[in-house]
Amino acid sequence: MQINGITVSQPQPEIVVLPFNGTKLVIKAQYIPADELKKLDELLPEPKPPMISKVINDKPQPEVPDFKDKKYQEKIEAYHLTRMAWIYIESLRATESLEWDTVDMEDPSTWANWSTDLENTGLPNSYIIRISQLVADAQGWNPERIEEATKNFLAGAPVE
Amino acid sequence: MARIDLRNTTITLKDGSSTPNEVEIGIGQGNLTWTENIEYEYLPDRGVLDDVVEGDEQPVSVDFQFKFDYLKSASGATTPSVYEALHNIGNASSWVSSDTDICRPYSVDIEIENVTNCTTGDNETYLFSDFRVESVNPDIGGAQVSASGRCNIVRPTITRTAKT
Repeated sequence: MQINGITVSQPQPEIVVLPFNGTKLVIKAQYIPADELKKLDELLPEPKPPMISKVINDKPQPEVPDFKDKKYQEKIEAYHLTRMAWIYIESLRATESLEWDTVDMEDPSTWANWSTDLENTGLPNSYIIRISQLVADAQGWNPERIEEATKNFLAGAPVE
Repeated sequence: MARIDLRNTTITLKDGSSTPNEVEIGIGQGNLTWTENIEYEYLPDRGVLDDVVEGDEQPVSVDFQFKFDYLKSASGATTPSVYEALHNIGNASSWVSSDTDICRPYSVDIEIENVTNCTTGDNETYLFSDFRVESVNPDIGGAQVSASGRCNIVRPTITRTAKT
């Protein structure tokens, strides 16, 4: 597909270089396409709510999903956190020779360790926040970039 | 033992799967009682009471009768009735016995969770493992069930957890 005469394809990885202990850490984050997210759905299925059949005037009613169930709400919260963790880990796979200490891609229960692993490296907190922003940028989650590009365009800046 | 308001409790029948199939029963009215049977053998010495030794272990007897406000299944599963869960039939036909010995008759675990409605005090969980129903009296029209049976344990496991 082309837009404005430009062939639109998958975004290039976002890159940030972090000076640390006399070296430069090159961190790359890639966009996660929809196909990859479908694979995640297979690996980490979304929890389903329990079905509840209430009794009204001594008569059991047809069963309906119970979205207010406390255990379900805990599961769905954990599910979204784990899913988000996977996006961060998968996105950072673009970084060469990145090895996690405790994250195992086959074990969803370890995915949330990604931030702890980063913290345990001794990297300053500001760097870890920058890495998180990098992943968000790669996914197109940063609305400020779009606003900035739009403002620049409307101000007459040439489209690159 | 402190009196427990069953309206603050949920009774859950669970099978032996790694991610258990279950039916949660919200109690409107009713009660659950159990009896622990402890046998001792008294050994007199020339007609005078003397030694005491433990007799054979006896299973816990459990009786319950209640009117329920709701039945709730495990996530996404079709809700079985209490009767089906106790008998491994209908919507509970795929349930696996809670007893790890598959040669033994089908059983379920009964878990009672007492969530106190005051700000202090711990929540309590009573676990009656491997309950086998011996008598059941369902009342479909009245959303009631009463049943009795025995568990292959000498006493329930009672745990307390701090309120969060």
